[in-house]
Amino acid sequence: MTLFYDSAQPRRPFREEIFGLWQYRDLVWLLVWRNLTVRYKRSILGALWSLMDPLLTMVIMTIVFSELLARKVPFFALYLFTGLLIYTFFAQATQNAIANFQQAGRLLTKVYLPRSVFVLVSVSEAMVNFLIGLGIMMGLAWVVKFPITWTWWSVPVALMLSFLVAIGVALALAPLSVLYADIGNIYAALLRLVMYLSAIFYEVDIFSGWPRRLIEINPLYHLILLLREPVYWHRLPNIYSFIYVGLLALALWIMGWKLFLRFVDEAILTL
Amino acid sequence: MLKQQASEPLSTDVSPWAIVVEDLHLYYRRPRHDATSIKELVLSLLRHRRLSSYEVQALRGVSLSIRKGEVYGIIGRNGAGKSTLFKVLSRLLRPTRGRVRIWGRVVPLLGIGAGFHPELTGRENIYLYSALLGRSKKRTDELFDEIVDFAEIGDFIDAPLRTYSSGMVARLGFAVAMAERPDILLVDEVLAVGDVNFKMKCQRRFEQFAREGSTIVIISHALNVIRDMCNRVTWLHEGRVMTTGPAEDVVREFWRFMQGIRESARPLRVESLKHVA
Repeated sequence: MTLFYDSAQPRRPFREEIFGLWQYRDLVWLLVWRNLTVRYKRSILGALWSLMDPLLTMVIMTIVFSELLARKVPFFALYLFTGLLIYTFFAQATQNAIANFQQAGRLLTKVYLPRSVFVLVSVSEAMVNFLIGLGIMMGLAWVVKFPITWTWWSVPVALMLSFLVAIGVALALAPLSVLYADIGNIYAALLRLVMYLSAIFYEVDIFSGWPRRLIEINPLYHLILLLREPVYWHRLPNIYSFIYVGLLALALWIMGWKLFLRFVDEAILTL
Repeated sequence: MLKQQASEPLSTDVSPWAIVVEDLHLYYRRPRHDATSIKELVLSLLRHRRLSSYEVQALRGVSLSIRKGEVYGIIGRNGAGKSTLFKVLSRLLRPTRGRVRIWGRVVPLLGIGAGFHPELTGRENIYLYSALLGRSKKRTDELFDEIVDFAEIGDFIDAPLRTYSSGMVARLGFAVAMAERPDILLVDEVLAVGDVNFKMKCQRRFEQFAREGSTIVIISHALNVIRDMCNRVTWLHEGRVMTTGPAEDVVREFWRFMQGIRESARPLRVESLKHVA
């Protein structure tokens, strides 16, 4: 038998996490699947409810806002859906990460697991919902005879970057919100603000001056553009959006890991 | 009685040891003020200039070496550091000072069924808990029938776990954890669950694992279990090693010590001592 663990070896926490997540990949999928099914276990529609939520929001928003914008934006439901999908994914991913880390984090005091496992699970869970939502959107496009063009091929890039951004933010939030409960509340408020600054249910053109600048520095707005441009406007997204979101995703990813590894042990001790 | 044993000689390369712990210290800080919100944090910083916290010294220089294939007991009063030691051995806590080396994969029987979910079926929970222990889905597929067999839950396998009795849940957790022979098994007071038959079955499985080369470390307050099962025992007291030696001797010494405490604490009452013996 070779030496399996030596506390005197220098620590490589990041490598340990990544290696551990790979080792426990079956667990990640099991937990994703468990979270998706358990939540609706006793309801009649079951896991369908995870689709109903964005769908119902979309129907309500379409009814409410089509009066305001219908003449300017044809196929308003699709316009709305592209924004709503990204926003819902991001909100779900990060807020689930906070909740899951608080609830399931107790496991980390009992069994050795990669500490980031619940963050990855939360974001992956939201990603599954995102993909289902994309499926619904394609179905919707087909029903209303909205053209589906080759530009849809750039959608995976939007998915990947959304995933990276969400992981970064969720990693930082999960341990910090355990240590300081206010962070969860501040974040929830911030998320609402970001939603109104994301041009989900309006066109950015209706604004000018500083409100417009505020929208244009909102990373979520650019993530939405990465999906909306190819799907709704049938054109490739602006290179500026790609670069901005790409660099931001990288920065958030690095910062997220740094904060996570810095605070996770402390957070687990207080659970 | 209070002699401190010198740590045993250590070899490094092809090791006859499963676990070697050298001068292990584990301290952690607990905040005194309990600031769980930013407001409290700021107020506390303003008031005291820095965050006040106190240090818990859970382990203060523990050394022990456990041979491969040994059944090893850890005893001591509540708060002696037994569970903290297990947390270090299962990599949940890092030593503050000192060194811990482990040869082989550790399976802790700590939070049995900690990952169980009441709304999932027994079958689903088996896969979940198995994955929590680091097994792949494929490996669990192979072990599945044996797990169900050992847990003795029969037709309940596809019923949600909330319909199980607490004994059944414990058996299921145990069966999953014990489905594979681990290199090193950490057992924390688990024999407290289940009926007599199941306890016997578990004990037999421990013995079988030990014969096949597993190292087993047991924490228990049931001194008779420790005496019957273990080769050697370490008695921890307030974060330090009090004695290490053959199970019989250390258990007797510890029992005398506890008796002394009881006698000094209150007048001797024979009934209250019976269950310890």
